[in-house]
Amino acid sequence: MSYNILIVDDSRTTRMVISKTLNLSGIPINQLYEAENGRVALKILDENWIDLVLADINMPEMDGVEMVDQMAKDGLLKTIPVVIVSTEGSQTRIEEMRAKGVKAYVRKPFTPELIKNLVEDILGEKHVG
Amino acid sequence: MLDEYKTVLSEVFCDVLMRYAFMFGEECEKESILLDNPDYLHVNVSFNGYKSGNIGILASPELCIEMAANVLGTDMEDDNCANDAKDALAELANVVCGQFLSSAYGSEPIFNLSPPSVSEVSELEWQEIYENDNSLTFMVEDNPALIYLDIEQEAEV
Repeated sequence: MSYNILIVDDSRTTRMVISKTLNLSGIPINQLYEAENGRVALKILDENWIDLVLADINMPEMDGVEMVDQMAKDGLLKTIPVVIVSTEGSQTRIEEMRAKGVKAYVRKPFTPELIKNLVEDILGEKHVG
Repeated sequence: MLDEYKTVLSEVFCDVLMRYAFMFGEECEKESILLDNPDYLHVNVSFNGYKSGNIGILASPELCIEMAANVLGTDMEDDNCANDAKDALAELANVVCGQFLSSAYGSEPIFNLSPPSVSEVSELEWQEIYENDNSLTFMVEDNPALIYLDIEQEAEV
């Protein structure tokens, strides 16, 4: 089985780093989608089957918190696992996001290995990269 | 800038440079920085919540291109690096801001960060920021860089 993963971050550099990490990870990727904010991400989610979302919090137009809230309102979207990849380190914020159903929280700067291991765990696949 | 903030900011900046961009930064005396290239890029991130303020970084386009190349794992001659230089600087500021706030205030307070804004800075702006007590100067891989911190009035808790 191969996966569709959506990367949501207003930083093109960060999206490229995560994409590169996932492409080199050995995880079977069918399609990588990218969005620069939550609003674009919701449009992609509406039009495509997505297995996992990796999202920043601080983004223009629609931030990651609002995006997760909008996903939670949809019967199908709320089942898609979300990993927050953010610079914020507030434990209060982390707990807030977990209470909204976020699967994991990664602090920037992250290592490629951390992203790889986390995605493997969530998707339930173990691959030798 | 309070001395306690200066120390934290300096340590965070160097730490993030290493972990995000694989670059070595060293704080230096302001007098040792020569303004030989006025075409610097200026990124600013504002924050509010427990405290309000903003953090800014000034760096040369050459440093930003090298940073982008390091982050992306490509060569500096790659055209993408020039295109992504501003974005790499913006993300550096974003990460530095987040790390500074948790280092300075702990893991409990919530902060809201604005998306970084990048602009070109004039020689006059550089000089004003350089002379401000809120700024620190660094050498990053033989390139000068400035970072500054402004803390506004204390927000009501």
